Amino acid sequence: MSQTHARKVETFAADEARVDWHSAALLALRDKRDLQAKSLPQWEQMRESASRMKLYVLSHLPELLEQFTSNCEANGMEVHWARDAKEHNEIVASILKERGKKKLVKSKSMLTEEVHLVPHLEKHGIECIETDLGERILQLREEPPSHIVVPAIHLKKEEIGELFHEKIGTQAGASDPTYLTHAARESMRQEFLSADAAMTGVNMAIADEGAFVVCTNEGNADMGAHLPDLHIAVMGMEKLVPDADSAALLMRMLARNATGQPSTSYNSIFGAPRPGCELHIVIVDNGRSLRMADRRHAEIYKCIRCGACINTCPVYRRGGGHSYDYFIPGPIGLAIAGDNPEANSEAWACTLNGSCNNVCPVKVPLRETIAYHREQLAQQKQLPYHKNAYMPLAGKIFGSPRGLSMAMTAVRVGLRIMPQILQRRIGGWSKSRDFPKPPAESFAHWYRKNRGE
Amino acid sequence: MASKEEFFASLTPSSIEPTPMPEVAVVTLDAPPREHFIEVLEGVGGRLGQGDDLGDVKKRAAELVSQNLQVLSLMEGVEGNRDPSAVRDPHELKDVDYTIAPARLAVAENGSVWISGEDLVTRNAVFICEHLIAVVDENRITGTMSEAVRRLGKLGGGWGVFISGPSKTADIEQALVMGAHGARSMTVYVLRGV
Repeated sequence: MSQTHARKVETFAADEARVDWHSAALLALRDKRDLQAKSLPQWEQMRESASRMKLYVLSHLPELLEQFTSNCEANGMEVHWARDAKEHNEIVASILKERGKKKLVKSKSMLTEEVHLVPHLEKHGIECIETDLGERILQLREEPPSHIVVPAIHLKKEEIGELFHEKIGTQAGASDPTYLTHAARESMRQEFLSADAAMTGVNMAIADEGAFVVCTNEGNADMGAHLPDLHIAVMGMEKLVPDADSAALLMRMLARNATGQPSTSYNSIFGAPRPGCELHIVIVDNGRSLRMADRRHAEIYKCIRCGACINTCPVYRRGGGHSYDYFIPGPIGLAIAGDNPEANSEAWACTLNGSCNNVCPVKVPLRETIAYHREQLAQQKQLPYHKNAYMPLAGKIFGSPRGLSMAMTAVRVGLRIMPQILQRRIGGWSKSRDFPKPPAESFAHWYRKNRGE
Repeated sequence: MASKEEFFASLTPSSIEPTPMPEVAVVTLDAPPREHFIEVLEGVGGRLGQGDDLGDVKKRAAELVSQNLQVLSLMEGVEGNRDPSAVRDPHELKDVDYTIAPARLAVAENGSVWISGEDLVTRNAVFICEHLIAVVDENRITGTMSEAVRRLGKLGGGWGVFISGPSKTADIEQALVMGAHGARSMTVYVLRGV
């Protein structure tokens, strides 16, 4: 079993100033999202429409997949099917190898992280260049992303400056973001010009048109896709939307929720390959339909990967993206994979405060799904943090009014007489937080006194 | 590798109750589109071109050419110094300083313009340039994305892009930097309608 989430957070949280900085950076994104939400009077109506539209999609997947496929094929694209990660990687490798391709420029795709595409292609001798600036930084550091929208949010500019000095020859000690970004631009330009294949993800796949939308701020997906004669787009099958109206709705919502911009700089809509070029789409299941077969797990696939739930999550903000086992951190990652017994502390990396539910543009029931995973793990006796041992006992005590009253008296007295230094040694949350001052009496006592019989 | 039939056969039926497709409302804005578009365009790092007549765009193109810059004009009636009809491969455009392209639509709510691949000699013309100039008729400004999509009728059927300001990133400490991989600046000329 891997290290628990709490143990990994301790490593991240050792530098308190850095935690504060990390948290503030994410809260700033949340604030910008709030400004957008307030500027559109139809915000809540849009959330409801988007949620119901995605429920329509998830309950009509086979029909929509058929429709999307036949329209894509009519538009001159080639569609491939992958039941799992292995099939996906084999399909991509064979498309590239059959055409003798050696160098792939790729834009950000959570799917390719999920299926570990890059190591697979490298084994086949195909060079893969991540072109999103944040992803490129992490590729050079040989480190996974810590966030799905802002993958290098955990890094300081000085660390990036040092990395770039070593890898792309920027001046020693330089850490100005503009200077570093423009140096990366020059270096990446050479990669774009020398690539012989491009890969992008898919933000929305429009079923009734056989077209798909790719959203970026940097323009890296387009710079990649429009140079070589081969473009491979990969998508989880939940990316479907029925029509252009639905795609427009999600385009209105994605960036507003992600970074608080009214739109990403580029919403690029691919409906056909360039003349003389090839455009392939790989559609992936990889466990999606199995999860969707469980009603209490199914709605995670409404997600449009905006990251708003991650930005608002207090556990993520103060615990960092690398403290999670699953490659998607924060509430949506927990909701997707929190039932994994191998990483059974994940489902507890959550206070169930529900802030994520409140911001989610497509109303994924994040809190409820995470709580459901806890329930399942409890039934399998797979609880972390010794909960298997003490939870049944706690259940018994708190289950009786008398037991509860006695336990609470003990806690009130204990907190009053125990010095703070000892309180911190109790462990868990008390390591970095003070206990609240205990009230003088129990609520039941107060009620009897003030409201009486 | 799975065939399409094998893939469909392997799908576990969804547990989500058959949900009808909701009405996706086409939202309109009250603000006058031209003013609203310009305000949002500037907010997303774009610039408004000086002047509202095609003559102003021509003048600007001539100015850029006179500064010895590489100017690719895809706008009818505007002269650059690169011949669009001579472009055989998108890589040839790597030294283009300015691309001038017609936009078929603009969207006020996010300051974007819709550029269709049909109007470009090659799709990359609006990404590989150092600077982008787009030209749109003020009668073609819509309030929201949903109105824009309705007006276009079909999004796909080729290729097109909504561009909202210059290429940008904030991947280094959330500091906003213009000019990540695409154009470093974006100027939009809004022409007075006839």
